Amino acid sequence: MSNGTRVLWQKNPALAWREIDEETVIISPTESVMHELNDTGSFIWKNIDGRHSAQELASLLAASYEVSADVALSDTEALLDELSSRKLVVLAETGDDGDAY
Amino acid sequence: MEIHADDLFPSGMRRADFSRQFEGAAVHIFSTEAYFTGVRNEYALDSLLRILMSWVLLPHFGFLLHAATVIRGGRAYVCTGRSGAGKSTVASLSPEGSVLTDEISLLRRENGVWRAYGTPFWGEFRAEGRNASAPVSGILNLAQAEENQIKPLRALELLRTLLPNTLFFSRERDANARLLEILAAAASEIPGYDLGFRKHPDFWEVVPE
Repeated sequence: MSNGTRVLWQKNPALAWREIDEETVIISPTESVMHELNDTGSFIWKNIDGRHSAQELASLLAASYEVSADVALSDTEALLDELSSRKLVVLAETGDDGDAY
Repeated sequence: MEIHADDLFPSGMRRADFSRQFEGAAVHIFSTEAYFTGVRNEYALDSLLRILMSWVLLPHFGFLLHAATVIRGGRAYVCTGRSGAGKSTVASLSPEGSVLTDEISLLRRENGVWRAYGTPFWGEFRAEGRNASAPVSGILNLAQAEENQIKPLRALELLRTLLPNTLFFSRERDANARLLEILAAAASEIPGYDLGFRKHPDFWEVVPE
């Protein structure tokens, strides 16, 4: 998205999740489906709190892992797309403070 | 809790904590006992008890698992797997009296120790579930194989095994979060193994004591 709106994501409140072996297991009670995230996916997942944009999540990722800002943003956006398509994250709010997705 | 699934609900008994009647059948539940009367379909009662037990176990840090449990040397070996994996086979290859259940095991952490219990639910082997328990030595994820072989599982791998084999029926988020907490603890604290076994009692030789 590049329409100037700031898109924020939050975890789907219907889910149960837990970290184990540095990975994250998410279960969707209504669908009886289990999802898994690796360590970097888990890092992003933990920071999805309805207040961080994709850009901010990518910055956090780049600061904690040896990855460039461009790659961090690309990976973060790809993960958010995947999580969104599986309804594991949902839109928190849409502001208009100029930050792009 | 004692379950009485017959028509012997004693008249004059004190008022139940919960009573309900439906199409001629009735349930009367007390703190430690439950009476079912007028039940026409034992499988319906079986299903109800599975749902009830899976729910009641949550605050007691326990869960029901599709698993046969065999006692060896006073320790419980919980053998899980999908239908056809070999739960009943393991039970049939085990000494008489050593099988707690061949279908559904109850696992519960008590004072930091995981224990496995028999349940009244039976499987193909028709082993009568025993109202007994033993500390859990390990959880074995079964697969029938040409040769006996065993591989330790990481906690995440064991959790992957436990989740699809756990009996749970609630779609409530908080109940599922609690179940996940319990299963993650079990996966982290109980040794888990992939066990490939052939139909001979010698498979026990590869299982760690």
